[in-house]
Amino acid sequence: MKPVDFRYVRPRTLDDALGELARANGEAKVIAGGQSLGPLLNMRLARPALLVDVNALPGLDALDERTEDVRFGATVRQRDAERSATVARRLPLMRDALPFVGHVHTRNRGTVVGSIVHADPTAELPLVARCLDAVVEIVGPRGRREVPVADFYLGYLTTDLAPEELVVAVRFPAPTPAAGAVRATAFTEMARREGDFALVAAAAQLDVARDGRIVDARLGLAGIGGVPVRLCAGEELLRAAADPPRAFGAVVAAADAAIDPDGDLHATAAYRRSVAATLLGRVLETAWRRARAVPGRG
Amino acid sequence: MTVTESPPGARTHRFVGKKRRPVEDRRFVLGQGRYAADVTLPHLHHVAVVTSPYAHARILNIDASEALALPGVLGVVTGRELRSECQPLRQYIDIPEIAWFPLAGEAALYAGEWVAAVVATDRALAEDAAELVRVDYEELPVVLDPERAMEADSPTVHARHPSNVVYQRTFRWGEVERDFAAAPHRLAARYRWHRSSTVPIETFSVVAAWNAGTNLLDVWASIQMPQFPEQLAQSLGIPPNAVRVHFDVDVGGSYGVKRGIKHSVLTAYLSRRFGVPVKFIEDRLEHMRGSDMHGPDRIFDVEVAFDDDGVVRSMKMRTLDDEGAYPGRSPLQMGKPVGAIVGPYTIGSVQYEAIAVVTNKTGQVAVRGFGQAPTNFALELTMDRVAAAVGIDRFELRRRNFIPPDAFPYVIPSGTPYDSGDYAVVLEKATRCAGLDELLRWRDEARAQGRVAGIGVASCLEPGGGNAIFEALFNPKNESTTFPEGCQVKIDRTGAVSAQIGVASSGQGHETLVSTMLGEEFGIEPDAIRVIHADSLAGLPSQSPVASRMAIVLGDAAIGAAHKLKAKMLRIAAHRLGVAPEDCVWDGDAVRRAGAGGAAVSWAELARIAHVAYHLLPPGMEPGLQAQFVQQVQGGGTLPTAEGVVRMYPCQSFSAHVVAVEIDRGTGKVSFHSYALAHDCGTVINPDIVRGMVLGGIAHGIGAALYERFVYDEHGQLLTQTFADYMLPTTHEVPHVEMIEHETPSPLTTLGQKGVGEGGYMTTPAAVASAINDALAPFGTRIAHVPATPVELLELLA
Amino acid sequence: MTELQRVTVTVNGSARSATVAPRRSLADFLRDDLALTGTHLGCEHGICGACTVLVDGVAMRSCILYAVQVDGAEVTTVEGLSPDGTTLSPLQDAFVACHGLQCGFCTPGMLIAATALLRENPAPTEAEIRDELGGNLCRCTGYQQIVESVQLAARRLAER
Repeated sequence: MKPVDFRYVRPRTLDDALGELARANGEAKVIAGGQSLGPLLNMRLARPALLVDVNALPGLDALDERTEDVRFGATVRQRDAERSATVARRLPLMRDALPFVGHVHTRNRGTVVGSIVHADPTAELPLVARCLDAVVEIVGPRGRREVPVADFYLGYLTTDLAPEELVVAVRFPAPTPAAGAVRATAFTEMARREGDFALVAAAAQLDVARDGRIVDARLGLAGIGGVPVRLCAGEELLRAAADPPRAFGAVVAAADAAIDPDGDLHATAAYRRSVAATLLGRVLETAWRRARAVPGRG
Repeated sequence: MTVTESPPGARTHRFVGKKRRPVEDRRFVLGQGRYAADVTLPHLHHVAVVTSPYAHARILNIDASEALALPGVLGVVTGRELRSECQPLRQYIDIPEIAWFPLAGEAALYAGEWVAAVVATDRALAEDAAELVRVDYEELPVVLDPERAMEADSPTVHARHPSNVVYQRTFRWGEVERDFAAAPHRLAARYRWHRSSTVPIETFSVVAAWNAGTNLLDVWASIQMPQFPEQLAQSLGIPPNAVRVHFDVDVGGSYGVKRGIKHSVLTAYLSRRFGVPVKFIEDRLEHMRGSDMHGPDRIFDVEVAFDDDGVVRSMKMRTLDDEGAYPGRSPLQMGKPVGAIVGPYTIGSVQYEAIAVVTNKTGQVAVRGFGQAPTNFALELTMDRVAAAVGIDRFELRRRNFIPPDAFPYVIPSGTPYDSGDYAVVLEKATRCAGLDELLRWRDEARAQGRVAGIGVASCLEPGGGNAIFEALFNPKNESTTFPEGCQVKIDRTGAVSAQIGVASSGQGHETLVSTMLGEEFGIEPDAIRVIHADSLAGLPSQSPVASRMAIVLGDAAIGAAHKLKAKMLRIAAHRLGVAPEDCVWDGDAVRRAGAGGAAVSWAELARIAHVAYHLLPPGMEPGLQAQFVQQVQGGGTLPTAEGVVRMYPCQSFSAHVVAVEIDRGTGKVSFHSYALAHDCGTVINPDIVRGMVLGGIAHGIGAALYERFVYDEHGQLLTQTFADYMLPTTHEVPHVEMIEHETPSPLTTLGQKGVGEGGYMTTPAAVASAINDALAPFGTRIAHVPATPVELLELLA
Repeated sequence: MTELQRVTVTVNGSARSATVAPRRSLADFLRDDLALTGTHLGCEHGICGACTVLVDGVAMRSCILYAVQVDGAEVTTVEGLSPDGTTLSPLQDAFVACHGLQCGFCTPGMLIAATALLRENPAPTEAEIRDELGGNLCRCTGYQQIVESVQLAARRLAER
């Protein structure tokens, strides 16, 4: 399984990279980690005339912690995010999700941004990006633009990225919880084997105030459509609930009403629907338990 | 950690049964293994194949002109050319109307079938050229379901074979109807063993180099196949002594499937045609889709007649096997289980119907166990149902049905004598190893908490020895009764020992096996004995390392050769000492006069005399120390009767597995709480190799039980072509396994050794299914198929 | 045909060069251009792990890396694990002692993975070993004797 014959460049400046993409007239592919693209190239499902390697572009390997957010340059490896104290502290939902992403060795090379841009709806990082309202930073022939992840994902493996554009970073807003609130997260998935893409994945982040009310909630599901799904109705219910655990059932019911899963080789639509409900219930319970386990909160 | 528990009075050995580092392992950890893909020659060219996108389509035209125009492309060969220049590949059942060749003929019969082959200077270029070959197809109707394929109005797969049924025979052994009439109870069940395979990490690879100067074809291949050199020669229309297959190629796993006869005939033909060495390394997609290396794909209908105590008196079993488009040797996988058709049980009569059909799918091949795993699965789940029907536990049910230890050799209704066994003891050890009482407590506590938990048991025969008399059983035109293995042993003038074997190994440790047994026989350190893999012209009859036969047949061949040498050395020593040979004995590695004290002639001296001191040899003795022994499969040599009574494999290994699983109520995912077994393959030669074989077979069995399946869509497209979709178990899916080894020696082999190569795999799917069914029992439901997927289990739990 | 590119990689401590097409995988570059056939190809789509090597000390799959991408990097293959090509390293020796292999095809990837693991985590638990090797498929051993090999290697290295 050898790829088609492609040319290869490894530009050293962003302008050079953009120039290559523009000249290639849609026949170029960007390679960063290559863990998703490599298999497609070897199977000749991707057939670019030119491969533009972005690993030598300066500054793209930066994982920056800033006041409002954490910013991942395009070549930050998943493994570095997994080990990052910044990610653990500021983006605990991503920290929870990363061990589910592929295997140790694919995380050594694969990039956070690459997974988000590849847009597989069963992948973990796109789901986290959706839950945390990440913003995709794009540069192209017409300059820079920024697209919230919700608008970036258009459909199955389809994004708002034009062939002559490059994603240079994805930033994740990381606001601190409201005063006195504790943030707890949970991530789980159902996969046939560990390390596989999920059949269904569920993510929950809860900011729980001292009085036990939820002041901020992020809920999402992957694997139940062409794009990761944010469960806004459920989040509303949680924020409105005087006694949040009693609302979990309604949250799951709201999610069920909002999703329209597909069936495929690995799972029927009915299965995905049922497992989505189960996993959503589990992450709610787990996140809630973690929040209440913080000393003084039980 | 394996605990080996030998029977009382067992012979104590110096090397056999002791921990010893397998000699092969060193080269592999150094990265010095030599696999077929590593073989390189000057002017080597590479192959890529053009495959059919359709499951059934007439091939109207092939235009290779664009492909041929690419620089570096040496040529393109189509089926028309190949089929006119070569003989068809061998198919063992009597179906002369079906011609099987490496490339499709008038029609492609499955999606992925090879239609043309490109030869180029490198593989990437060959793939570029393959994409440029234009093939015009006319689609034809497709049949994919085996029961549909049997219907009179089904689309036909082979134009010249008007029915899709390529084999059908019913055997009756014993008084089946009488036994059914006499039994108070009966039950019937249907089982489905879905298509999977053992899928090695190394795909099939072959290098063929035709030498026009010597008219000799050299072949290096990742091969595990009986009669490979002969069949290669036959297809190419050359005598077998024009083919030299190099067996000193390391094979990266086979477990039955590396029967790359079509890859090899194709590659050899290309080499001869274009006058260059040619290498074909099939890629993963080619392997999954077009290599004809899928495993059994079966529907079983089983009916048993039993009494109030759960003792099964008689059984009727019908098995329907979907061979894919080209049956090859695969239907015989319904024949081998005839030699263990009643499992370890005293079932007195059996009716057995075997049906093979063709469909528009990839062809089947021999897979680990050669049909015993699916058969054991059907039998064991049936025994579980009998237990439920009479209301006794599954362990007790088995004990009541086991062949008792004093009944051996025990001739089963279909004619095979079981050599030895101690089934109840092995089952007891398995339950002890598993901590069954503790497991039952765990299960019941889990259930009380609302969890889905179950314990499974399976007790299965694992026949070994490889008497391929099923070839004659399924086709009387196959009159072979000789299934031999040869070993040549040499002692050089310094006394160093080397042995030649006529097989390629794929991880079974044959060099370790032979050197250990020779070391034991000669009284010398096994590590000082070199074992090499000869080529196919070295004159060593072989049937390849299939059917768990090597320890049994090759082991005894090595011992046989050793005995010849020892007898000769004894005569040399006697002559040297001036006494009669009967007055001499071996004492360690020297020969001395029997009785108190006396001179001894050392090993080194005996070797020296044999090779260089003709004047000291007994008069007329042939100089040198080399001997070959060809061991016929023990108990083999007779044809089946007209009724199909047949003596099959000589040695019956046996294992009992006890498995505890939990099924996630919300996702249907199965996880192992524990896995324990007791295993009996007679005298153990190398404990780590035996343990490795069993553990590996268990992993294969877990794959078949829970994860692996070749899935086709309604158009005949294989959906599970990559490792993303065809799920091989990883470190997370295979649990830690506890094992106790028991040794019931075989009376048929020199050291009592039986076979283990297919061990584990023949029992595990049944054990896992049994555990799942125990977990599902409180829900009033069960499975009768493998693999059992989370989607299916969640539905059953709903 | 695309223009070939010269690639220089330090492999097992030695600078090695070849001129290759950009589509040449690192695995094929090692195997065919440098005759280091210890690295194996089992799937060519990044799942089986037989092709795992260290690139600048980090374990990754060489079938989905192209040689041109690692120009200037340091690569360690299974051939580089022995100090002199003959003496077994403690890890290699442990695999032989525990028979943590059978056909040997997945073994180079397993050894590289274990090397990376033990460098970072000299006393891994069984769960950690299974996690780290979770992306390396084996069809022969059922993994258990591989796990035992890594555990033995960890003990031996700790004793040094």
